Amino acid sequence: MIEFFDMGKHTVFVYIAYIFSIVVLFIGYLLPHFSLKKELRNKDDKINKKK
Amino acid sequence: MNISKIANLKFFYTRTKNITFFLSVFSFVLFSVGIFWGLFIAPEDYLQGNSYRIIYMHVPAAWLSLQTYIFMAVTGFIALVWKVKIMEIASIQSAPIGALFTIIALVTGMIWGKPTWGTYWVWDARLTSELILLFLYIGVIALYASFKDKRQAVKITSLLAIIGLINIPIIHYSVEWWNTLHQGPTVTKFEKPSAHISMLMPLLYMFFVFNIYFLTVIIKRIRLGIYLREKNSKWMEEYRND
Repeated sequence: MIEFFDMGKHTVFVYIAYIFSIVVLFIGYLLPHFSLKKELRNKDDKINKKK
Repeated sequence: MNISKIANLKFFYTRTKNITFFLSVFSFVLFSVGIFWGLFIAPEDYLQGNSYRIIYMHVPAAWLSLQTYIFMAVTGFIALVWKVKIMEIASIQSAPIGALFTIIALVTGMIWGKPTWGTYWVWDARLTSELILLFLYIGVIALYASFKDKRQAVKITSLLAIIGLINIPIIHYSVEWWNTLHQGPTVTKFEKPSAHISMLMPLLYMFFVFNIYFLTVIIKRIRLGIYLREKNSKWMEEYRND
């Protein structure tokens, strides 16, 4: 199993590059998702307070 | 479908909710396949060993950083000339995505540079012009945030994006115009690409996947932009109450 994931002397470089890219892409996806949710929640809170 | 209908904010916001969900799932599946292909199926390079596998993230991110900038400038131009609201939103909302692609391209390039060149960074033309691209994206985002009147802000950021277009051919041709440590074109030599087909296919596949990702996130960001602009409008309140 470990051999399957082994990239020789470049293992660390390859995996750090991939993990970094995946994390950044994930953040890029989640940011607008949660920003919109937060805005919708804030609006609902305001409406509820008025009531 | 009529283009003017898609450009309508209400139409876009109400019709794209489900599309983003399907695109998100599609992107996730395509990315999983692409990462597995790039890491474990593509053959090892005879010269660089396994470190070359970083190109399956680095190259599509670098291409998308340029493509997103052109998208931002073109939509900014349309917004500036024809004052199409959705283009204003598309232009400014594409800047953070482009900045992320540029960061990925720069950082993965640095990680690849260490085992290949023996250094993380050199001030050669390709790397420096790509770094300038990141500053342009940050400049657009910061400029937009500094204005209270967002429609006025988009006019200024669109102008900056259009002027910054000059950097795109500089980035692309830098490896031909100057002697750089960064390697010359590999894939765009269409008559005879330097890479073997077994290495080229996952690269082109990842380019396609990055484009799907861009489409997914830009639709999500445009929806966010529409909401921020129209949250007090009558149609938005009616839509939310339904």
